Amino acid sequence: MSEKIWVYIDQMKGTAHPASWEALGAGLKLAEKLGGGVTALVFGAQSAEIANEAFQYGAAEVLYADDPTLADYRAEPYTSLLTGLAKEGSPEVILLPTTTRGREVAAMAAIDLNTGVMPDVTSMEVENGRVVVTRPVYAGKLFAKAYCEANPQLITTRVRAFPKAEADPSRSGTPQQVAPAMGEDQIPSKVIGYSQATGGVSLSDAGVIVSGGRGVSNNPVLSPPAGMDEKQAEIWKAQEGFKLVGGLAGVLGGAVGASRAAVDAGYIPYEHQVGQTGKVVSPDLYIACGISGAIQHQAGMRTSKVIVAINKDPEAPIFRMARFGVVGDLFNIVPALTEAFRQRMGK
Amino acid sequence: MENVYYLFVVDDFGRLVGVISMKDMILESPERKISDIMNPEVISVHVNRDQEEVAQLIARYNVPSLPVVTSEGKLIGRITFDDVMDVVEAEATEDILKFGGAIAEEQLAGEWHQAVRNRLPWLTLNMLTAAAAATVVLLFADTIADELAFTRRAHALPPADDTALLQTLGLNGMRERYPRDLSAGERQRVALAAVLVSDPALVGADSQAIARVLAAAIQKMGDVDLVFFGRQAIDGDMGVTSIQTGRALGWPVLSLVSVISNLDPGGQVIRVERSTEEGRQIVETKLPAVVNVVKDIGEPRYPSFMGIRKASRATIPSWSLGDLGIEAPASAVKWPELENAPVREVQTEMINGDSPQEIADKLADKILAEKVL
Repeated sequence: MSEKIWVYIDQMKGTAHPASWEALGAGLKLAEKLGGGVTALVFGAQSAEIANEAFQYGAAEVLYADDPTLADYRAEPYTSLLTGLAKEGSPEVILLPTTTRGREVAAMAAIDLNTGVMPDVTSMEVENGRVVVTRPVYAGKLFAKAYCEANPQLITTRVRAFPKAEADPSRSGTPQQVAPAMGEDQIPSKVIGYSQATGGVSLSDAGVIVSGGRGVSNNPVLSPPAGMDEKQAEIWKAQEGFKLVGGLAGVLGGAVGASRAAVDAGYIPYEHQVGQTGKVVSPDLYIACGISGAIQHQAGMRTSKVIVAINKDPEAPIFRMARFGVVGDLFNIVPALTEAFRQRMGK
Repeated sequence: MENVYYLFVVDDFGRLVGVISMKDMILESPERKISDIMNPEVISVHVNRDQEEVAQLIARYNVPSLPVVTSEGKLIGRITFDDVMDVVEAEATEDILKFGGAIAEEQLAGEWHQAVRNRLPWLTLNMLTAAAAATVVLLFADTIADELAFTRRAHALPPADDTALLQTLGLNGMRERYPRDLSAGERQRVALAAVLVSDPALVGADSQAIARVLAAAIQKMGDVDLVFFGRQAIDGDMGVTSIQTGRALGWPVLSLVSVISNLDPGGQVIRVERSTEEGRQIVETKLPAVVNVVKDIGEPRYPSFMGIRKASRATIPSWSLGDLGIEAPASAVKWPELENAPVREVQTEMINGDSPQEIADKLADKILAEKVL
């Protein structure tokens, strides 16, 4: 029967979210201390490939549900399936990646299973047979330790906080098929479709992020087209500025982020916001262009490996956390940097 | 002379040299001289001293009266504590009038323009300092918000995003429509209900326990179609309470909602756009439902003056767990310790150069040398 540690593999349209393999890696580490292997849960429609991958990443067992009702993620059928299985299998720990879906399923499952949830953790230890997690609170200014007295201990792992499990293509196995818990007529929600696919690289699992702040709208040499009022002109200038940011991100194969100030000013949609009330990211390289670095912004990016700050104001707090800083006009530096990388990376 | 407890002693020139109590006068042997039994350390006040200071002296030394002397030390009278009481009252009145920008000479039935002239300078100054204070508050709004987060911990209700509150009032996307065009029935259905659930038994409750309490409160309100939440409180950054409340109610949950594209209380459906990693997901679900919104939902609008007045008079019912008819739900998650975030050891290297190209070349090489690409 199933193992003590379960890992929920988050997927979207037949592709596993990379953070799922980080959760699986964290699960394998726990299994070393708690004993046994890891059971991976793959829910979707025609997602056999993901089930296969789960074996390659080291799962001892895969519970696989393949059903049209699970094609699009919906909280209710996914959660009911997970909690139904957990009531039978009685795992001690369930790990999920902290994606929007993982956090939601974990939160709901805690209610169904009458246990606690510890979302967005950055490290885990085992003490007296229980998992003690560490998670940032108060915008990352403090770290709280927490543990759950009930089973299963529901934990979501922060994206990019744990190393991925090692994949071994020679490993394989036969997934154990499980049936969905809800029929289509029992599911209250319908997914109508997707608007505005953000395109490009998704922020939360990007290895490189180039972000723009309020400063992107201040290019003095631009003159907006006639007929715009002041606000329209400001937004037009900012969008021109974000084209430069996007250009650099493009060359580096990265995603475009933004500060709250830029999002609030209407320069770029909320999906791009990095910070406490936006996305929490942890890329290998974070380039902040025209971002002063308020504490709420830092909360979303302070764990980036290398931070580069480009800002006109030498006093901007972002410089204090940057590995490299340039005091200067982003409208000159960013295009030049894009060109420099283009030459060096042969693109 | 009423109530003499002390006698002041003077020399041949009428100068104050000591004090003696009536008790000592009576109990000492009649042979002894006054100068032997008097206390030469006598507290006196100068004739030109401000009455208020004298009042303070009497209060401080706890004496029924003080001798009054001239510059030469000549005793010319005494002041008693009942004289002083009148002084204290008059002085306090004067001070209070000054606080309000009024002067002591101003009469209640006096000329109004005189009152304006007297008060305007002070009121202007007050205005300026208030404006300065407001500016400081504005400058530190983020910090204050952070600090407030600490004080909010003890409350059962998570502090909703400001946008959530706005959303509850304004319904972005339907802002043009609501509330003007809603029928009376529709208005009732989206009516606001504000309740504070407060109970000492909830201190230290985990998100799941709080969600169960919120669910019980929502059920007690009854006839609720839609519950709005902010995405997360800014203290614990958990982001799960709204989702768990919906689950505890057995209602569908729409999380991370950035647009409400359709709300049909009659047909009991809501259609929203959700912000997910991969873009916007358009979802429709059945009412009643729980919605948690992200800040894209709309700009918080400034409250109107009438709105502020109305809010200040609103009575927010406070329910205990007993009112909800439940016991404190068990909390499974324990938080044994908080520690400071590890200090980020970073040596910042500033890149300089004569031209943007030179800076960019140096920076690109440095970044490549970090081997993160």
